[in-house]
Amino acid sequence: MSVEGPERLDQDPNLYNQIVAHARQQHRLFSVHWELTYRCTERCSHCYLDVRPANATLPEELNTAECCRVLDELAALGTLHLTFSGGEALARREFFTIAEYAHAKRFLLRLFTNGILITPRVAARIAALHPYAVEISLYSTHAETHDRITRLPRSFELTTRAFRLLRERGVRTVMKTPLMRENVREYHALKTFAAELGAQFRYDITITAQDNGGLAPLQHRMTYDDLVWLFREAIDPNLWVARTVKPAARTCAIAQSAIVIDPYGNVFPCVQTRIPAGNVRAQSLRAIWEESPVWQELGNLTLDTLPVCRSCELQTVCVRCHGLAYVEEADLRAPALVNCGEALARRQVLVEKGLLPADFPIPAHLREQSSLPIPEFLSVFSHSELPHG
Amino acid sequence: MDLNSRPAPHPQVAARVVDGSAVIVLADGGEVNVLNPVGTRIWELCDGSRSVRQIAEIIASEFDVTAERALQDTEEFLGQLLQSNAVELKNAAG
Repeated sequence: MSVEGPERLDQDPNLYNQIVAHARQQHRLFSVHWELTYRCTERCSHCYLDVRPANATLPEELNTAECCRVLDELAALGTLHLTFSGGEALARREFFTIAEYAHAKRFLLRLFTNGILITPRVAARIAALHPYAVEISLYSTHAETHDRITRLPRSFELTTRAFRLLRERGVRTVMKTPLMRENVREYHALKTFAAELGAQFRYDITITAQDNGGLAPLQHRMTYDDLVWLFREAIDPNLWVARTVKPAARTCAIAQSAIVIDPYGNVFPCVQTRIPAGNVRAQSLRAIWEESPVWQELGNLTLDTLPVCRSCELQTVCVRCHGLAYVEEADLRAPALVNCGEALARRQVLVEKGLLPADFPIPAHLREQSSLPIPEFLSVFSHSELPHG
Repeated sequence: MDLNSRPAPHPQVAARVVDGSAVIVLADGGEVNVLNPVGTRIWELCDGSRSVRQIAEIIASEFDVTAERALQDTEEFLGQLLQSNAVELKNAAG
């Protein structure tokens, strides 16, 4: 051929990453997290959503035709990654109508579920969707602890059955575990259990307040001592020592190539940052994605625009979440103090391992914080003294 | 390969064309393929409605290439996609 012949270019392992990076640079909508319903079969004690019973009637949810129209729009916008979440996505009666439509539109599907409703028949239908992964929440290796967190008897039994049913049908599964006071010391056991179930293990360290402002979940947030213990066990300290941050860099990928859609059609920048960008009933997704001022506002949040974080000594060991700052400090540009606590715990572990000097400074805003009355939502600090620096 | 068979994306495939390049994800194995412009055009034509021969004819008409070479390259390329379960062939009658 005098033109370049047909060819797969995947020999370059970075090519896909380059495409994703380019999508972000170009503000292309590449990834969508869709909360199909807030109905749920469980009542987890730490849940950030105001969930409803699985049999609740919620006429205000997007109906199936509206969901399919949104899927058409997303496909036309070039969106590839699509995650169905909830609540419990499978509690939505029309779930498979919507998911099968999405499959026909060739999205790369993920499903977040608690697994309760996954029977052999449901597992077979999920397998036919060829999802990239099904991510299942499991909180403990002990049935009693898991069921206490979910507030649903037999949930451990049903959830672990879901892992097995999906694995038997060749579906890739991920065990997803928010680590809390109740389960953090099970970290190693959970990892082992995930391997036994044939699942990848993924944990999350941050329990957040409810989207409606409720603070009840925060009593489950790990203490400072828990965090230090976990980081001693779980992190590769050398990676953190080698980490660099640039002043002009964004601290997360928010507003670049991903959105969240809630059951009522509201569009948000991410699960944590519930700043409305529009509603798919009122506007096209293209209009929301191209015209909402939210993306620009959040896209401008680089480290050097954050008045406290920009001079913080813990920058390189901090994973800052704008959404947490917004929810818990009511200021997108403020330090998210829960992330500050996590960074302090990483600092302590690196000091212990001799990778940071013992006198590595504790930032002024945290030294001051330790002398103030501590709000309940900063309970990460409330059960332990700040380390002396 | 039956040149009258009609290639269509395999059910495991998730795909989008990004900046003129088809990004094809084989969901079951987690493999990502990125195609060059000619490969992308062939991919776009694999919708189950056209035969291998018809796809090659379109390639020959759109790119500066002889009909024989287009057919040879198209067949070879589709063979690779078939082998990796990126496409499946529907028979001429079906």
